[in-house]
Amino acid sequence: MITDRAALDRLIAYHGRIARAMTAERTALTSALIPVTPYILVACVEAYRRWPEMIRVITGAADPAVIGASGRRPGSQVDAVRLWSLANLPLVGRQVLRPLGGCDPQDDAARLGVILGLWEPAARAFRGDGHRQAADAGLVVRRYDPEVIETVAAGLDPVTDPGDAARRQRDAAALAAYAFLCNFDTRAGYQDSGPYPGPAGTQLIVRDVLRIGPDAWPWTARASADLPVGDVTVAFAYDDGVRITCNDWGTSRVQVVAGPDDPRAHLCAAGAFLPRDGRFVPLPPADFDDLVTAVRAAQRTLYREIAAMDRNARIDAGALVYFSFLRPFAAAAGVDERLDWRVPLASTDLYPLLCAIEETPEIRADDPTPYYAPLDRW
Amino acid sequence: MASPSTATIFPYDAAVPDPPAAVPDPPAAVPDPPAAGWATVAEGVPAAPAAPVRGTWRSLRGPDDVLALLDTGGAGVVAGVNDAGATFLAPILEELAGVVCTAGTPQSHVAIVSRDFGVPALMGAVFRGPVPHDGTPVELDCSSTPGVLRAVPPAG
Repeated sequence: MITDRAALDRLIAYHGRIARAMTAERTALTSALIPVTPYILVACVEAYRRWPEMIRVITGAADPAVIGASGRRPGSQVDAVRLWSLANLPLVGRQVLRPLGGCDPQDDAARLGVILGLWEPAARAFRGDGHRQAADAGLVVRRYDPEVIETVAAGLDPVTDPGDAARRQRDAAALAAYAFLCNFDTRAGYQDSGPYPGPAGTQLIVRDVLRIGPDAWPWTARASADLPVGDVTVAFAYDDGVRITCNDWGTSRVQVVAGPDDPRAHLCAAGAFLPRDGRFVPLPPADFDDLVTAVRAAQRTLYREIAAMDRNARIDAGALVYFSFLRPFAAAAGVDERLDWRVPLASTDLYPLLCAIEETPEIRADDPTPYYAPLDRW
Repeated sequence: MASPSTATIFPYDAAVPDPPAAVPDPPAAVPDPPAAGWATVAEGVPAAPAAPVRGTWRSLRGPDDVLALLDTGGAGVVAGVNDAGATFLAPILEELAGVVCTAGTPQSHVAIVSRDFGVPALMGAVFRGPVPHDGTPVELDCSSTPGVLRAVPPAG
């Protein structure tokens, strides 16, 4: 727990600077299928109000640095997206509650001290490079150790031509689209890490596709019933003619810096893997094709089922996904089953108001107003 | 046939050189475009550089519109949407000829998935006038920034 108010203010400002830049770059969150803004607001208020007590249980059972380091193991969902969310969701909730008189200035520092007291050592241990976020490190997320990446590189198949490259990208996109649907348009289910140095000057992007199986969420039980796996990882190796960056929302960018203009011409190998017992095991191409075929069918079923849900059910489902960003930390600490993950529980007083907000304010990168209010303004 | 393989499928960056300017043939299901009279009706930021594609315009406002398109297929359709999330178009996105989104940026979820599918997408699109009627032949040109949507203005 962080008790130094100046240290807390520095962390609040630090997160605000990065969150503002990332949000300004992406902007819109709307979806005619899923009420994204309402569920984010509900989950963020719940996170601010409930996560501190839950985090006390988590940190009482395991060292934050140990929890963070567990994210370097294939299959762990202690990842960059959830670490970003661990800090930022409660800070957003606080911004919502503050003008409504929903924050006690005395209590506020204690809440943030608990939350950021888990986040900071966990983020450092997760990255293992002395930095806490991709923005500090030139937009690099290297969560997997070199020996893990060696296993990945050894399991890649050469890409034969641009058509083969396009097919592999489309298959990966089919998984990503379904991961977004299963996880209610959040990055809980789809994120890239890298670039990792590969053999012979190549650069690797590792894309973890998570929580698409029948047991991922209550609403995936039927649609995903025929999927052979619930988590899968794909990896792409590029030659040195591109520059790759990756942020803490798991978004990678591939920019051509030399050679053919088409980035596909720089894709030299790709492969699919399953996380098994802390390792990546290659998924044979035929099995991967079967998975993609099953995902394309499941997507239609799940879309129809989500479209048939009433609006509040969709809000509650999205809020559950967001609120559950803390859950892998609890699992790593062995206290998952001791905590109550139901949502909404602590936002019912504001629920009608939060559910009525459809639009998020436009965020400008150059706005001088603090993105998250500091402690000492209260 | 317009093929996703003709499009650049990786993340947008203004510094990325434009792709070759060759215009692919229109999909077979799309009527031949008028010989002349194409006019820019909207501008926006391409999700990724991509050669122009032609198709028929279809505004998708809610899940029912997407479900209806699931039944008929999305080949040759340039879809107009207001949502930058990845979920709204999820089951049909891969089939579309293109996407024009009035919100979002190249970092938005629908842009991320579109470029991986090789489906040209125009983000943060601003229309100069009325949105085209459904069925209007259109051309989506994401070969440079700003990207443009072209159509034939209605007679009169």
